Amino acid sequence: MNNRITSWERPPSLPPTHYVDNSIFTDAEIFAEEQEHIFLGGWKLIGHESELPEPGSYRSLTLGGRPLLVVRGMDDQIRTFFNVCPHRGAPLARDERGTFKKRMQCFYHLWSFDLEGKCTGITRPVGYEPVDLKKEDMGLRPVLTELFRGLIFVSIREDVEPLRDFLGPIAENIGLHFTEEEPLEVFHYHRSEIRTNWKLWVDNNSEQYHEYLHVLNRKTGLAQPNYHERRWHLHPNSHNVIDQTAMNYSDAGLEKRSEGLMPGMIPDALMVMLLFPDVMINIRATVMRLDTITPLAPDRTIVEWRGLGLKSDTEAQRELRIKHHNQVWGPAGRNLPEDVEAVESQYAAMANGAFKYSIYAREEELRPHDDSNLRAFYQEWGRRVGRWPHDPNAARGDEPALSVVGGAAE
Amino acid sequence: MSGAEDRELIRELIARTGRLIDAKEFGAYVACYTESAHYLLEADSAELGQRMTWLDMPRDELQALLEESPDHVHDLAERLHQITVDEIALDEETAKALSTFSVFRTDPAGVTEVYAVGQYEDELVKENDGWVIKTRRVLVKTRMFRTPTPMPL
Repeated sequence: MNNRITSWERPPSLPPTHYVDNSIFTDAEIFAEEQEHIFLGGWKLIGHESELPEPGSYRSLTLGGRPLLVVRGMDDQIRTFFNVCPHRGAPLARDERGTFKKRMQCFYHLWSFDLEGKCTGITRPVGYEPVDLKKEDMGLRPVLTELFRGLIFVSIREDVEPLRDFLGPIAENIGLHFTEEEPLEVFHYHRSEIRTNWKLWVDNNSEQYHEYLHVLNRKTGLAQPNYHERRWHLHPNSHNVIDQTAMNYSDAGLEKRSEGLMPGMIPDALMVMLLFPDVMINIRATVMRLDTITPLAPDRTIVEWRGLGLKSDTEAQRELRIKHHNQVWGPAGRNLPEDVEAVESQYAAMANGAFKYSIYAREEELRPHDDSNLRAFYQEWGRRVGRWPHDPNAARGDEPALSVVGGAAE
Repeated sequence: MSGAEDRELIRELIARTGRLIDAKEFGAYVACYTESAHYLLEADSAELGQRMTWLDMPRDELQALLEESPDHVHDLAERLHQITVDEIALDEETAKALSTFSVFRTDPAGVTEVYAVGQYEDELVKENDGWVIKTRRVLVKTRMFRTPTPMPL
């Protein structure tokens, strides 16, 4: 009996890339390192430019616990600031969104700022004259902001690599679906706080093997002749994308998705792309879903879901996209409850010690159910936080990530 | 039938929809709607500054969704609707009703929390001396759910 228990506690007899120690999901110290090295240490997608439709439009949000304010300036440029007045720390925007009329004003002592973050007015400035405090020195703290094809990325760290370098070759794939000719527009937004670790949501989003969980996918996808002929494409920084393949929606009693296709899509097709660390772009022929994540604690994660269509949509086209979106996704979609149930129950088993190692050992030559994309994600995670996913307490220097594709070097 | 009797029947019908969906008596729930009825679930997005549609389906689609629901992995918690009919406007064979609802969720461990709150805007018609719902617009205030679900609210 003891031998059996010991074997459950031992690492699996697999290559070290093919399993992870579940403490990487549950450990508070590791969580703090992720916040510093991943979410505050690199590029993070915060939204889409269509959410800031006119000069003065703003959205407020948090990144790694920091309150941010993203604003479209009078010059049409999108900038991000800490949503904090440099005087005493009250927020410039207290709501989720809105439109500033040429300037922002702190509600507390009425200091004002232009949309480029410069302080334009200090209430009763005479009181600061003795200490020579000038408005020119009291601008908002800016946050590095770059756009790529309408996607808004920010980085708290200023010495981060250029966004295009971070994206690398996956930028081409993004460009196929976020085109300059057909701008997109967000029509759906909701978020949930789910009781799991953020990496398990990424994991769930990226893994095609879990399609067996979904009634809809079993009916429309898994039995399709070309389903297993697709390949994952793994890119630097652990971005990845899978080839498109057509689903058969009629097998689930749903209409075909052959008209009003999203850019770069073929009829009825499904496409999934991950941008490290937390962005999933999922397109089902006529509609796009964009997921982003805000980790709150090892066991608490905010997931934000956006639905996108074409900015040029007619009313009828938009209505159809919304319908297609809601058939699968959204808070009342068929698949979302199943995914949440899966990742929350997984985490519960990890947290109570019932489950020490997770297995990522499928090798199918980069076909959909190969785990290479997940192995690449955890290797990139380990490289950034300076730990080995399979043995996070072992010493690690500057060693590169391990190869993940069937034992062959990338 | 007097106006007072009609109002009472409408109140009972609206309360019954909550009780039936909570009990997962889907056939009886769908029978509260006309054959050509429409069900709409909407929410106002503070983030986008616009109204979002989360479910928009005729009765036959709603019925199909409910019938396939046992096949799905779903939240094991129980739900309990509490509905107050606030206003009824009667016009002989048709009526409009505005109601406020709360949905409580009790998980398998017995912990209860408020799951969602919102309003029903119902349009009703009289059929065979009884009332049925022709359209239900659910305007849900809650946008951050403990667990998502395709179950009608």
